[in-house]
Amino acid sequence: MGRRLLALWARKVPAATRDRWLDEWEAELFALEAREHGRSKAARWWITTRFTLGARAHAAELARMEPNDKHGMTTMMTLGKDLKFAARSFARAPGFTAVALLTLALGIGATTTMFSVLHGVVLKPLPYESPNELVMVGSTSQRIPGLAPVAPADFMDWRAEATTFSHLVATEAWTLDLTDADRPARISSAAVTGGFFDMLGVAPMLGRGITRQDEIEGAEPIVVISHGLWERRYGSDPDIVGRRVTTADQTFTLVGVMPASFEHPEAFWSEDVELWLPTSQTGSNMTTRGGRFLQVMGRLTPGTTLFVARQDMALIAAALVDQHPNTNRGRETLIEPLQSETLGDVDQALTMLMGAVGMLLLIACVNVANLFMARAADRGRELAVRTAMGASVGRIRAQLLTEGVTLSLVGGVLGIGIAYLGVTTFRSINPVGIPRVEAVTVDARVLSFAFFVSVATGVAFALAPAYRMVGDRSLQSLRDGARGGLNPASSRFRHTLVAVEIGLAVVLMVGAGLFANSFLRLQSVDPGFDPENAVTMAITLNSGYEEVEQQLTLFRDLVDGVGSMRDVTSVAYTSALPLAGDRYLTGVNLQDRESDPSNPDVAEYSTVSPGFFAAMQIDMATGREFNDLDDAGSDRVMVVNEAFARRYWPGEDPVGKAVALSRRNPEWYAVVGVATDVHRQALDEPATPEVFLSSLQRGVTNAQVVARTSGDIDETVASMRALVGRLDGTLPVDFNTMDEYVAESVNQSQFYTQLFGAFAAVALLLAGVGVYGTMSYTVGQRTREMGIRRALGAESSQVSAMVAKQGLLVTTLGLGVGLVAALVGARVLESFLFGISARDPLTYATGSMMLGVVAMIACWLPARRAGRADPMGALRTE
Amino acid sequence: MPRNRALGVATVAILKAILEGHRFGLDIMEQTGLPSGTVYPTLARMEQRAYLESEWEDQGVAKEAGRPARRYYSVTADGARALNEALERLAALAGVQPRIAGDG
Repeated sequence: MGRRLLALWARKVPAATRDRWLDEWEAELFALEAREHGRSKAARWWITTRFTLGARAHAAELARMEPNDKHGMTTMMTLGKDLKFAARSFARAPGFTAVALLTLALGIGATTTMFSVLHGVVLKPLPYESPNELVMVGSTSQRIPGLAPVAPADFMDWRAEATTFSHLVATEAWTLDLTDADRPARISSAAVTGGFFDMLGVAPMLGRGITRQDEIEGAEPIVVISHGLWERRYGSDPDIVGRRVTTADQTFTLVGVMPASFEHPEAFWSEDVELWLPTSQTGSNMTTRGGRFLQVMGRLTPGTTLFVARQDMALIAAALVDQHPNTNRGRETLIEPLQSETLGDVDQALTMLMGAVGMLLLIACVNVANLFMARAADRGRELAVRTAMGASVGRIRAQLLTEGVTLSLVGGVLGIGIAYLGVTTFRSINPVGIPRVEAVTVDARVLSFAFFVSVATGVAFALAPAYRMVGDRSLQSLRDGARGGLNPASSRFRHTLVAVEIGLAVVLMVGAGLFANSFLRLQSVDPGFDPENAVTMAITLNSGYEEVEQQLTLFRDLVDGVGSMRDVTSVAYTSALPLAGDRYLTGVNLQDRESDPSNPDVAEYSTVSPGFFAAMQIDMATGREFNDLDDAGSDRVMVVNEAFARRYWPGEDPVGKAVALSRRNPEWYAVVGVATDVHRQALDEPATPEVFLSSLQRGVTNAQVVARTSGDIDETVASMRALVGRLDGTLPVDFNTMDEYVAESVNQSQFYTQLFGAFAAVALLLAGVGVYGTMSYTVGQRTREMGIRRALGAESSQVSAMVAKQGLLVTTLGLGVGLVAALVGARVLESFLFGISARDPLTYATGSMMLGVVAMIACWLPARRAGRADPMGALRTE
Repeated sequence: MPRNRALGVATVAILKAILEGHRFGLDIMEQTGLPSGTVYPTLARMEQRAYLESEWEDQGVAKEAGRPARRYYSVTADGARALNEALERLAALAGVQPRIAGDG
């Protein structure tokens, strides 16, 4: 029986040693049988069978020692054992595990969210063929630096002569008010020259794109639409190519639909472009060299560097200066990659946020490292026993690292959950107006980032304890174990970690403080008008309203209709509403002032109805606002703002002065009043000189109607919508409130404040936990010492003070380092702040004080416990 | 790959038994009281690590005794050194007093 089993198991033994192995076991079996001779057969069978189980284990061991699979097998088996052990040791310490996991999940989750955004927006290439060949080409001059728009005639010459571009196209932002289908709609569009889609390397999903033939004057009017518009407005009609698309005054043939993945390059567009038409259809003068309104993009021929392209264009621009000195003197070209132009300065904001979130992750790491250190110290005896039992230092380190990485991977999985939530939220609010936000997803790249962050985190926080706690001292710690001595090197290390943590937290606290301060200041800025209970309605007239008389009739009917609504207290309209993004500049010519031709006088310009200032509750500083008598039949009048008066007539009374908007054909307007300043661009931009003209004298085609209501906003909106429908059903309208415009203008600041606030709150919490954990641990370790001190006559308060002093020393050190780091780092924040210096001492003081208070509480609790140490109890355990 | 790994209790017992003259498998088992599934794999590992050497009993001697030749193990100098270190460690371990509550 035994021999048959041996033969069976011998097959596991490597062939080279199989014969010797069998010999050895034959001999052993013989010896056994010789001794057992005389026992019953059953007993013998049982003994030999049990004995030969050893042969099986032996055979397996020899098989394992085969050089081929030796390492793989043992490493895998060790890892398996370590994992099992890690799981058990975490299960034994649920509190520790929960805190560590939560910390890690927060840190990894926040970092992964920010990375998704950074990756989607900045790192992912643009969704076009060979995107690094795509560039923006601009006209530039001393007076207008940067990528300024290009004159059509210049563009035509560039396109004809440039050799470094395979494609060069011009685009102009445009809007079309479509009147086909069931509902009029305003569509954000782009007029483009031929080959626009070819340049980007994206083919239409249906039909064709826009060609050079289409841009010739007199060509058949055509449009190409986006996938979104095709779905939304035309019900995804597969036979749409050839359909008529109409506005009030134009009829186009729809020739193509772009695929869903196509996005218009966002470099100059704030809204999604949904329709493209040839430049020939806009009525823009495409032969002028004086008017500059085109954005030019190009694709470099493969292998061409920016440097070569810039030289090519510089030569062409220089030739144009010679040929057309009147229009082109001082004009050069500028070429920048499309990717960097698309992003603008968003990458700066994202880098800042990534830095902040990285600090949070670091704090989380430090905290978990500290937890691990404390645990490793508590496990000192366990580790020492394991060493004595035959575990090597390397094995124990590997075990601790396995524990760390296991923990951080589980934290990472939770963190990815947090990142999913974070990314969804981020996309839906898009708080900083980031372009390409739809590219932000938790994809494979992001997941692998989260994985690497988790592993790196795990190694980072487990490495320190693994090397600090395990080593040659382990035997000694076994002997010292009973005395519970505090290892001075490891406690110094833990205190350093806490100081680092406090330092990092200070930086985030200061950042949050600066943003909060900046936000508060921004919010307390008086916009110059009353934004409450004001409904706004954007309305655009079409070619049915070419005559000023027609425009004024419609608006009179509108104002009368809205004004007679029950809850509406006042109503007016303007061509450019403050904070709504409307902005028109005009040159101004002052009657009694010599203007400098190199630095012309300019002002913001808008046309407003009588009663506009009253309706907006903008006060008049002097003079009067427009009334119903300021119409075409009376003298031309103007209202200016205080900034205008300060700039052009300092110390004089503007009322009665005369201003013209053109130098060549002076039409003089008499100033009748000065309005107080409003923030037109944004709350953080100062008021600039403005002129207001009477709509009754100028007419108006695009307007925002402002109605102040004492009743329900939604009801007022519904009544106004119904009114416009009755007056002219073809006019598209868009409702909003002044409050929303004001809120939007502080949106970004609010977002930074909330985000940094959250970071700082978490950092504060983690730092508090870190200080508390370390101090309690130290106190625990020194219980006996405290007891002895008490027994020798130290007052309870003296003992407490001694412990607290140590904690405060660490805190102070951390605060000092953190403040210096914040001072250095705050420069990055400078451009995001309003009304406060990045070195505002009060913010620094407040931030460090809050942190100091938290740290003090975290020190005081364990210190009090130390003071209560029972002298007799402590001595008895000695 | 030589690995500097401390010896476990079973290994220590086996090495010690061999040094004391119990030189083949069954004998070691009976001396240490360890099961065959522990003794033989350990012998293989220790030989791999050069803490042990083995030699086959002279065929003539075995024949005379009327049994197959035995495989005898002996401890090398490295093995003896490792054993001494391990014993020292175990002595330290033995000095630890069990405690009721972790108040340290």
